[in-house]
Amino acid sequence: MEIPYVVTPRKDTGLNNSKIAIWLFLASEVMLFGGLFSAYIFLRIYADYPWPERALAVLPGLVNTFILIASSVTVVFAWASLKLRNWRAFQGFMGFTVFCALVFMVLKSIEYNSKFHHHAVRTSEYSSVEGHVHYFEEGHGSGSGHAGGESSDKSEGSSDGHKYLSITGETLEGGKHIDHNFYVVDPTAGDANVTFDLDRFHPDYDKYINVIIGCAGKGKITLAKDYWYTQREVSGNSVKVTEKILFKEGSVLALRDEKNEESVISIAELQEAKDAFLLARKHEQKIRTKAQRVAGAALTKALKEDSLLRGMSRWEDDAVKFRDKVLKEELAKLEANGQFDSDYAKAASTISFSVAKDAHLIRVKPSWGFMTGKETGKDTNIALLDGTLITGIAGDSSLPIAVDALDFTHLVMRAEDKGLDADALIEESLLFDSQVDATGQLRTVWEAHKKWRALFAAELAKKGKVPTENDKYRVTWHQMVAYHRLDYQIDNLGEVKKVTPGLFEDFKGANHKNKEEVKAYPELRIPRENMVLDSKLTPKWNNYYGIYFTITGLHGLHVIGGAIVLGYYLFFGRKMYDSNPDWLANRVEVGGLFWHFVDLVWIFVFPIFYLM
Amino acid sequence: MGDDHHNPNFIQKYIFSTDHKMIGIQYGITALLFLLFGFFLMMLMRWSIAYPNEPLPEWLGFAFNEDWKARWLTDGKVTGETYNMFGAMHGTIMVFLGVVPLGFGAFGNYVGPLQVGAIDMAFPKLNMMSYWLYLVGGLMMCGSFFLESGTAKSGWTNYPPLSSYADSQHPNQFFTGQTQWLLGMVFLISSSLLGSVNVITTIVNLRAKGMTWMRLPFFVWAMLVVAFLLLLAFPPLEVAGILQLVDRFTGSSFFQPTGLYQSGVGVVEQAGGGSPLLFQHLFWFLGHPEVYVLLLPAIAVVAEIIPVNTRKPLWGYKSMVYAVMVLGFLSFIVWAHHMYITGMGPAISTFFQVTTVLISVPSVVLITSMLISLWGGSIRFTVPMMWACAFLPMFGIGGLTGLPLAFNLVDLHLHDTYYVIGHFHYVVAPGILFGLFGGIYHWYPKMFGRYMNTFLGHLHFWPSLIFINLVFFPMLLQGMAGFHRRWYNGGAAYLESDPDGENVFGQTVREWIDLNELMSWSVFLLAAAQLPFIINLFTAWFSGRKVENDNPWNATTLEWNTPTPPPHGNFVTEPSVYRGPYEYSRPDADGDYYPQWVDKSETAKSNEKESADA
Amino acid sequence: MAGDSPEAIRKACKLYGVIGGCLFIGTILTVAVAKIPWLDVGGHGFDGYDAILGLAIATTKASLVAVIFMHLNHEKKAIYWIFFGALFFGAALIAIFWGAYADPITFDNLLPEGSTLNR
Repeated sequence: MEIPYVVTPRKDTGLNNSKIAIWLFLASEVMLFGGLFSAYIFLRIYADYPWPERALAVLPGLVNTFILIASSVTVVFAWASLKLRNWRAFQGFMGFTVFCALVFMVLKSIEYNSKFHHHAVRTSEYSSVEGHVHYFEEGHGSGSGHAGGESSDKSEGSSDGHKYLSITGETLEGGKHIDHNFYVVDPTAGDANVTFDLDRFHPDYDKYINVIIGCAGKGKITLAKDYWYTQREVSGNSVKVTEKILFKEGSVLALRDEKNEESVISIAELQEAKDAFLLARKHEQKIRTKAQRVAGAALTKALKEDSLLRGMSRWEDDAVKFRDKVLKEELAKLEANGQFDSDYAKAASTISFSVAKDAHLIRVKPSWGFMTGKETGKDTNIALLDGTLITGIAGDSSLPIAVDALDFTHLVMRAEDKGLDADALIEESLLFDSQVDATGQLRTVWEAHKKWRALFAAELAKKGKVPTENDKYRVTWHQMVAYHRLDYQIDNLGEVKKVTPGLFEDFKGANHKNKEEVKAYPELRIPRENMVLDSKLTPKWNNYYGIYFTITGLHGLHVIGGAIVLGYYLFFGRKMYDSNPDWLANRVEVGGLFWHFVDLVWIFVFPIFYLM
Repeated sequence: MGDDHHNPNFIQKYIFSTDHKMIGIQYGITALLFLLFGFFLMMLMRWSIAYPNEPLPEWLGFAFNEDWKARWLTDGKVTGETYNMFGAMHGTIMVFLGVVPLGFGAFGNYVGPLQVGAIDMAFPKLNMMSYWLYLVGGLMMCGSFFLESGTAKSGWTNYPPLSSYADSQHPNQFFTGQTQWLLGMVFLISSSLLGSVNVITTIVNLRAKGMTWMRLPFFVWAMLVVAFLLLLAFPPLEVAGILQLVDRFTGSSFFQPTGLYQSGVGVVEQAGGGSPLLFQHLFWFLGHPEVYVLLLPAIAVVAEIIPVNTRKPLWGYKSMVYAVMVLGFLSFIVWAHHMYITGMGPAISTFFQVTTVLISVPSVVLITSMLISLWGGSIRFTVPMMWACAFLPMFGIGGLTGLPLAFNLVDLHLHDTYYVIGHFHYVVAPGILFGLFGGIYHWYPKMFGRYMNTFLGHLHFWPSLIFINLVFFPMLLQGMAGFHRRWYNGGAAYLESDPDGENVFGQTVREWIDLNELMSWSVFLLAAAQLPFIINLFTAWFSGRKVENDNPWNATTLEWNTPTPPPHGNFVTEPSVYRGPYEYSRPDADGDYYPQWVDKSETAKSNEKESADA
Repeated sequence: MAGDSPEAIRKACKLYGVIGGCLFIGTILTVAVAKIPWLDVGGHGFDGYDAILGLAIATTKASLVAVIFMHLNHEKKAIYWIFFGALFFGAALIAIFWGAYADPITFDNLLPEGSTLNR
């Protein structure tokens, strides 16, 4: 028996099943993208910070729009070819459609990639900079094995011919690099400790431990105190409690595969300590639960029978006191004499190591946890996501960054809210500090920008218009390059326009690999305590990127899905074409409807995210 | 395409079946198991509420091993965090993994195509995918009990920023309970989507010859509306889930307002500028239609059981059809009555108040029509009929207690109290679930060729009815007095011992806290009352009284025109429909019922309009 | 499918090509009004007028795709109900969300007239 109306339409509705189904599906997609666009609208309208306008390079988006429109046309030509029984034409048009989808995704990944490599920092005064963070390259430190020396950090150069040292000092394959973005603890400046939370510690997260050991150096982290536990043996009526030592003070924290000298603690041993703690906790909970049960039962009985408590509610003070008393007695009794054997009766939940004074800097990635006390030379406390705590004196955790965008708009917004003079505050900005902007190039850029904006404002005033906040307070990479090309002598707008990178240079955004261009970007060193938020240009940076990546990402998944389905009909549709060509035409039509919907969504995405 | 496997092997027939009846049974069994699990979680919660200072008794704690107990209980007692885990999962499991799959997935799948006269759903393979997506999503959510972080624990509503921070201090975000909840929800929504597309297409395009729209059983109309609700209302929740996932994985601030401070962390390093309100709107845009997704299958089932057991047509069929369509439409524009305390101004909250009060009208039309259907009927109190008759007043109480909540001012007092819990449980538990149980007893004979045991049915029904009222009615009282929901210690923390003390609220708690014990013990007894049902499901299958013929209840709708149980392809010959679905006790017909599929005999003077409109 | 004859399909294909061309032009127009200064409506920079214009162009393009490429111009009633129903609910979602955001509790509507607590 066959399901009816798969190909032939039903008379009264005039539709076949898949037509109904695809439109139902598209209805739900309308609600899906409707929900997403509504999120966009409200996040934008009610943003309490300046919403980035036109922050994306237009050209890739424009090309992608043309590609999708073209593919929309060819997919409908493909369907028409099937109806006209022209298999070759169908293959051609459908092939072109799928090819367009692939090119679309390639362009998209290029766009995404350039954003994911771009860093942004917001400071405590609401100014922000964007740019490229320095990364490790082969540094000095002849075989000392520690991460490249501070003085040798440079961000120039391409990946060819350079080796990169990892955060712990091993050499990585060329091309891979580690951002110079760390929380740093300096053991040489004061006592440093590493404490593991055995409850949350998990052997799979060994990268944290490996990095800590690798940074500090071999043999530099040792157990601060004996890790002891108690053992309990029940024989008849007597209970013997013995204290044992699992790991001795001074044992060395080491990597998994280092040669075993005496008393080494690796991940395996930490797992042992965790097991001891868990078993001890289990044992303790058993005892306490039993005690609670006894107390509870005693209370229930007393509430029925005891002369003082009879008829009382269990919530009365006296009842509660009674229960507490019984609990305390029972607990003491069970601790002393309870019939609970345990190899591990008591064990600590944390295990603490001290770091040798001559160990190297311990550096961890900021995404691994959070740091309190960020000023260099002050007490600090880094708590990692698995409960590991690193305490000590903070090292230099500042961020070296080659800046290609300078943005004071948020600062201005906050200043105006508070009725302060924004321009004056900008002049005092910490970004211009000699500590931060060592060469003074950022200040030079800003001065040039102020000249430019005065000229621009005059130009606009002729038409009765005013510059936007973005124009006044945000310096883009195009402008930095232009000012640099003019050697920061800004005399007239036409000159600036001539040397400003245009639509085509804009394809991939700022290019930090170009030796000439990179000179336009000032080098800053932002102290960690002044950094309030730092991230790549990902959803974390602000909701604009968040909603952009989410919507285009979901749209991209739909492009891939559609391409797979259409590709299936392209490559495997011949058999269906030979047996029942109208069925294939039907399927291609349904697939085409989905494809048009994907195009329809992009028709809105492009102007909204790239042009508004 | 010749899709029929003439000789399907075991896997194709029972595991990866594409037959709507097998899929319906799969949905049913899975849903009932999830319901049982959700019930169990609630028993743990109720112990904690009644006896916050007492460790879990052995007969409740048997399900957990000592390691789990050492991690999640303190001194054997349920902690606040653990209670929140149970609470969030209880809600999620009951709503998304229990009632909807049972109502829409099981009944919709099994009975739906049969009642329209189709040989299967429009897309059998997609139907199979729906079930497996549901199972995988459900297992992901429940599997998170075994994760180090535990399950989601921010309420079944998962409001950020609380839910964003829940389980955030874990290196591997993927294996945290909140993330697994969100990912599982994506699976469930996909399952739902495929299911609703299937149901709508089947109803629109696969109706049998002569099955015009106004000859459809009301069950089918209800399922059609449910399918549209699922189709259009779930995507915004998917958006909310995706945005929250992006927040968790990338640290974005879709739902994080500026300036959040987290204890232990300090000022959170985030972009800010997000809107927690956005999540609530997106969630409740689904959340409200969802409750009608819960309700309508139960009404659908009861609307089928009543005519069969009163031997009268369903009263007001046409009004019910229009009412259910209006209900579906209105359900999309009432959602913010769940958000009255979020600071909406008078204009917009009045809008929601008006639409919410309006939506009670079609609901009342539906219930009243079914009530009036009983009038003058020759009532057979079969077990299904008892459940259906209990549904009406129980849902009535649930619905009526909802009215105060509809008014924004009154809701300010009642929001987040036990009154709300009492209201929605009345609707869902003695309401919807009773209706669905009735459906199980009603269609079991068609599915398995045997009646379920009547005595066990009574043993299931009467204690359930009594105890369920003892569980939920006191909640209404406690709620009006001001008891909050989601208190893991039942209010004990607020008790004021001094009767002359200034803490008035503590006095209120003292007055009503003893009801907790009553409710908890009623729950435990209610659990016991489900045992006859579980036993019945199995023993009836093996040794229940066999049905006399293919139509043991002498019903008129198409599903009774099949062999028992219906084979692949459902009908022996392609069915044709000649009349409406509730032709009982027609004065001009032979016998006391006139099935839809029986051809007009010479004696029938049909005064029915045989309109052929689509 | 309506108009299934080869000539009808060929004619339709011509129309599709023309519409495709319109879409290309529409895209160029969108970029032009956004980028070219003397085409900037309203004030300098992005403002409400630009948004409305950009969305108007986008809606026109989208309508062309929906009506012609997706055959909505000769589709069945059921499909119209489904699609425009979804559009209606999508619009209602956005509109009502806006209503909730735009009408929050403020001191203006919380405090009674003449209250001395007025900020």
